[in-house]
This record gives sequence, structure tokens and C-alpha cells, in this order.
Amino acid sequence: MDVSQYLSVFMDECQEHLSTLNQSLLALENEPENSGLLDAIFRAAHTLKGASATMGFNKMSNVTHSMEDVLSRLRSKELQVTQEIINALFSALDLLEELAKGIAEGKEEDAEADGVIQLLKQVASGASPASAPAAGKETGEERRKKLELRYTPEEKTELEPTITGGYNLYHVEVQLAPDCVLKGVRVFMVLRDVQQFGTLIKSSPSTKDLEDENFDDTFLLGVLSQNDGEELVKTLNKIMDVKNVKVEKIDLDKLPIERRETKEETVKTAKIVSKGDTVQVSAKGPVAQTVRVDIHKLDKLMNLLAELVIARSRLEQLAMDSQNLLLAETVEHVGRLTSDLRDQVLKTRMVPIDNVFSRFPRMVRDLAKNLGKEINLVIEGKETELDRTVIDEIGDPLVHILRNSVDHGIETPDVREANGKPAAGTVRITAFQQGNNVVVKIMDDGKGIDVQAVGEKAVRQGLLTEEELAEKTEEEIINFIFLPGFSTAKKVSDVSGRGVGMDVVRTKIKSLGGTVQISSVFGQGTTITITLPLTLAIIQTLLVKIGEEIYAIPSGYVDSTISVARNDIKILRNQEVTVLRGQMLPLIRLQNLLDVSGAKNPDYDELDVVVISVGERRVGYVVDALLRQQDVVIKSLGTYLKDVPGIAGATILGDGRVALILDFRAVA
Amino acid sequence: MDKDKQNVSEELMQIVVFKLGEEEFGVDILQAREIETLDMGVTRVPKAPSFVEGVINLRGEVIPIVDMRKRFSLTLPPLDYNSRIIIVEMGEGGNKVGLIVDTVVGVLRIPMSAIEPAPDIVKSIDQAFISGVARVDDRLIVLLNLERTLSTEEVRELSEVKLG
Repeated sequence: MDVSQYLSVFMDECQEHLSTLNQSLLALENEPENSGLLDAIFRAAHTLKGASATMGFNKMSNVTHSMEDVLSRLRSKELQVTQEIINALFSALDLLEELAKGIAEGKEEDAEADGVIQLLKQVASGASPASAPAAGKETGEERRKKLELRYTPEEKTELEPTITGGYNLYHVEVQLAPDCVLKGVRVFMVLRDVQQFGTLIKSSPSTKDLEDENFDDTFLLGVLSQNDGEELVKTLNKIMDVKNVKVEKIDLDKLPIERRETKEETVKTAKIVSKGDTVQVSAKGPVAQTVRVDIHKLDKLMNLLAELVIARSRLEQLAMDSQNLLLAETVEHVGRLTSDLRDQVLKTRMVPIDNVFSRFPRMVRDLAKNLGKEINLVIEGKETELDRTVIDEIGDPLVHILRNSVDHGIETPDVREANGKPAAGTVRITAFQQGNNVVVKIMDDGKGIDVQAVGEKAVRQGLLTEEELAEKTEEEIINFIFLPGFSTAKKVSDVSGRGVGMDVVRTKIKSLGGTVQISSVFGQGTTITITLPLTLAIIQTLLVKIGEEIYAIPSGYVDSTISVARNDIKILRNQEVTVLRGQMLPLIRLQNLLDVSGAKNPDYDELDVVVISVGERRVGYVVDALLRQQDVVIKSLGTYLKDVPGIAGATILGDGRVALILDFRAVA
Repeated sequence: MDKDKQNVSEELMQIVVFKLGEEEFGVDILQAREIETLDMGVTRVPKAPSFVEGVINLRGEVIPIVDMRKRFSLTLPPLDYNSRIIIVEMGEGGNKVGLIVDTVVGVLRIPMSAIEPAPDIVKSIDQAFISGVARVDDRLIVLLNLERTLSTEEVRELSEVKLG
């Protein structure tokens, strides 16, 4: 069978399952008793086995088969999850990744599989006294996720005044008929009624899972209401397919808290798993419904959209000139539709940053083990979305920074304890959206950057003199780290510290239109902040006029626009400055920077100034006029003009003119 | 130059012939995409090499425009209604660049055998930019090596030399 046409689909699936395996294994290491994780791992391995066998990748299917043996014994409780088993599974995973990589590169499966298979067999048999492998045994009860509602202490504090103020907290358990077809609809109806009755504060599983039908047939809701719980029971029982409703009033002092001590309480309230009916947990797990689309098709769509956006600007211009109200209305409507369309198309290109983050826990775990360090990796905001093109590029720089944090940042446990820190270091990765940008922060509570050492090294490397060093701020000195060939690590290790790296990181991020900043407190830790544009294709800009020329300034750089009276401009060291919010703001006439002839602002009494902020720095740029905000499609100037400083690209305006997009990154 | 091709005397090459001042130049027609009049707005690009006139919007594409006369540092009368932009593709990526020329003369078929390596007679232009000279009747047409002529690498070197 010619399977080559399925190869890309297989590879995609393969990556998905490998990443599931990775995450679940890591989680299993911390929660060896969690049978849900075991199931997820088993499912991934099982699917992978089937798929690879179909494709004729025998090594891969053999490895997954051996994994399955181990896993089914774990599930049937013939084996206990031990570190040994976890390690064996991890090495199997590594091998699978290697095999997958080989396949992707079109090579045969090179990697040596026998060792790992042997290892798996060993752990599968060695620790197990019982014999018969019980694959596919009834594991229904284990598969059931526990339904329980727990509250963090903070939530409890928040609830307290409400409950003492006359509200009751009810835990409502709703069981749908096992043959219910439209579970999502029923959930919706239940939630609607519940919300009329009171306030829904919590649910198990989450409302999203409920709406996506990711639950068996029973779910639990936490509701605050002044009304009598029995009323709710009556209302809900009227909904079709609702089999059973139980309402329990929860007293404040019995509030299940997310702690072990109160487990008994919560188990009581959560002991609602239905008994009789056969379990049919779908094997698909919480996977959103998706269609695989060739990325090139999305790119094409994006290009078409870009044309549309340009055509829209042109249409707007024409409508404005024609003074025809009906036309103007229609054009406005088309404009709104185009904006919506653009948002949706951009969204289709968006991928959660988790695609990159998901490999970090494993990486940090391995690094920490190698280096004899204890590290808690905290990942926040992994659902933050970024354009596919950005995601593809951002992985390596992040890996590099993270490795630096683990290797150079976090100290060994004894050193940490000697310095009065907890033995385990914390590395925190946070991603969040901020306007048109996504910010990724990597913070560690390690030893921080020794600014003095950086400075001394810079002097030794001849980058500047002692005198110059004395005039630099800490931030400026730290920035030397970004220079090629600069490393402060005293000991060169396998992991990092060879003096390559941060310059590569910065170059990469700059090429994506982003920025990197480092801040560090010596002895307390380092924070690296990366700011990335959401997308690379369409940006919002402020159009400004200088002389007869029009330039577009990406809104991401614009701090504010102000009007400065000529009298408020002072000259300080040959530099025009004004005062903005109590701070000195240097003013730069864009016409000088861009060699524009015929600028009119020198004659004005009031100057229009665009305040640009890059990092901590703010600079005011004087223009002749502020025209308007406009979404523009970035067009490259082509490789021919790629090196022109200060120009990020060009765009086509509604009247067909080309306007250049200014680039302020170099300003910082 | 490919030797096999030189031996086949019948082999023809088509070139687009244009004028800069009184001198005639040619580019391979396979590299020329189209010819435009100069009435579209050219947006100046600050800090670009001096011979880059700017960029234009060619049906939705942003294309850099090079003034060939400035490229070769020729001092000539200003551009007029005869002036044209020849859009050429160069390099592996097929990057489009527009060349501003004084007039486009037309397309000419010339036998490969009429092409000679660049002699010294072409004084006004750097030898590196020339891939050959075609003699057709009493005309002398300078064939340009566009990759070289427009290379920004070259530009950088040149400007560095100037600075030094």
C-alpha cells in the first residue's frame, strides 16, 4: 500500500500523541495514583501503535506495543507506578520522538529500539508477581473522573459574606439519562434554569467541558441563591433527559477546601458516580473538534484578505469623495464585515502558545535532574494564542532562555538553602496578551545577573573603557549580554554558557518584530520579558504626514499623541526636549531623521508629536499632521531593500499610494 | 558563457533595448516582465541607496524602482514623457525591480554569435555590470548583468570605497 500521501496526517497525529504522552507522563510522575492519566497515556500509546503499524513503521509500533504492556499492567493494578517505570516510559517516549523525527526527514527508522523494548519488558515483568497481562480489562470505575467541587481558601473568604448575608450555597448534582443524545443542549437548558434560580459559581467538570459534552452523564454545579433548593429540583426535573437531580445545601464550615484534610467531606458530597449503567467514556478525551488545513491554504487566504483590506481602503476613499450617503453606508458595512472576516482569518492562524510550552516541563525536569537541582516549573497562560508563523519561530529562543535560567539562574539546593531560599527554585513562564502584542515572561528566583561582573567582562573584552562603564546604567550594562560572544558563566557547561545565545535570541525575536528585555536583581532572580506581535501580516497603524509624504507608525509603539506649544520646547545639550507627565521627553523632528524636504512644522506654533515608547524609553517624534488610525497590510520592500534602516515595510493606502511603515525597534 | 550555445550560430536571443542618454542597453527578455509609464506615484525611501528612486504600487505589489542613470552616475537631461519603467525579475527568488530608463527602443532578436565579451570601449559604465556587447549592424548594444548591476552587496562595497 502506498501510504506516502497519509504521511503528513500521520506525522501531525504522531506529534499530538507524543505531546499527550509527554504531558501525561510528567503529570503521572507527580500523581502516580491518577488513573485518568494512565488512561490518557494508554490511549495515546495505543493509537500510535495502530497508526504506525498501518503506516508500516514497525519499530515504532513495537515500542508502543511494549509500552502498552507496561501500561495495561499499571491500569489493572498488577504494577505500581514507580520511578523506574516512569523513567522507562520516558526513554520509550524519547525513542518514539527520535523515530518520528527520522520518519519526518524521510529516513528509515534508524534509531535502535531493542534496548528500550528490553527495558520495557523488564519493568513490565520484573516488578510484577502476577502473570496474565490483563489488557482491556474492565477499568470503568477508574476511568470515571471524580466529581467534586472544592474551593480554595480565597474563594471561601469571598463566599463568606455572601453566605452569611442570606444566600445559600447549593451543590446541585444533575444526572442525564444515559441515552441522552443532545447532552450539550440539555446542559445549556440546565445552566439557563440554574442561572435564573441563582448564581452559578462553580461546576465539575468545567462549563466548557460541559458544553463540549466532555462528561459522562452526571455533573455537579455550585450555585448561590436566596431561594429554596427544592424549587430548583422541580424546575430541572422538567427538562427532558434529566434523570435525577439532587440538591445539597452546603454550610460554610463544611465548605470543601482544596486540601487533603477535608477530603472526606468532599468525597461525601462528590460520591455521586452513578452505579448501574455501563461506562462508555469515549476514547477521544477532551479534544476540540478540528479540521486539518494545509498552512499554505491559510497563507493564501491571508493574502486574499490582505488584498481585500486594501480594496476596502480604496472603496472608503471613493465613498468619501462621492458624498453619496447610501454608498457610504454600504461601504461602512463592507468595512465592518471585512474587519470581522480579518479577525476570523487571523484566528484560524492562531495557535495556543502551549504548542511551544508543552515541551518545557520535560526539558526542565531532565535538565534539573542532570544538574542536581530542584526546580518547580510554573507555566501560566499557555492558552494565549499567537500567529502560527510566530509560534514556529519562537520555540528555540524560549528554550535557550529557559536553559539559561535552569543552568545559570537557579542555584543548587545547598547553595540556595545557605542563602536562605527554599531548596527548590522556581522558574515561572507567563504568557499573556497585551493589546496587539503577546508578552512572554520568564522569571526565575535564582542568583540573578551580577551586573558588576558583566561590566568588568565588557571592559576586559574591550567593548568600553572603565570610564564609560561608570556612566552606564545597570540596565545598559545588563544589555551587554545580548552582544555576540558574550557570556558571564564562569564554567562552561553542556547546557549553556558558551557565549553564544542571547545575541541569537535577540536577533530572532527582532526578526519577528518583537523585543527582549532583561531585568535582574543580583541574588534574587532574573526576569526576561519578550514582547511579540500577535500577527505578522496586518497591523494597526497611525498615519502621519510630513511634508507631502505619508508614513505609517505601528500603533504598538505609540504611547500617546500630544500637542506641544512651541514655547514648551527647551534645548538641552543640542537636543529639543519638552516635559511630559513630569518627565523629560526628547523631541525628534521626523523630517530630519527621514530627510524629508518641505516639512511645515517648523512654522507651527503647536506641534503634533507622536510619543513612541520602546521598552522603558520614550521619545517624541514631531510630525506635520496626524491623519488617522488605519489597519494596514504589511508588504515587504523585498529582499532588494531589506536593509534600509528604520523602515519595517510598506503598505498601500486607499488612494493607491505606497506609504512606508516606520520601525522604531532600533530606537531602543 | 555556455560553449555549446556559442557554437550554434542560429541561436537567437531576444533583448529589450532601452536608451540611457544616447547609449543603448539591453536586458534579456526573459528577465523583463513588463514596461510601465512613469506617471504612477513613486514613494521615496529614506536612507536607501541614492540610485533607488523609491517604491511604487504595481497592482498591489510594492516594487523598488532604480534610476539607471543614477546607478551609472550619468548626468543627463531630466526624465520626460518618453521615460519608462522596465519591471525586471532578478535573482533566484524572482524579486521584481523597476528600472527607470530614458526611452524603450523595442525588442530585438540577435544571434548569440553577435554577442562579444565586454570591450574597453564602454567607458561610462563599470565593467562588472556588463555581461557582453551585441553588435547589430552599426549599433552597439550593451547587455547588462542585472544581478550585478542591482546587487546591494555591490552597492555596499562601492559606498564603503567612497567612504574610505
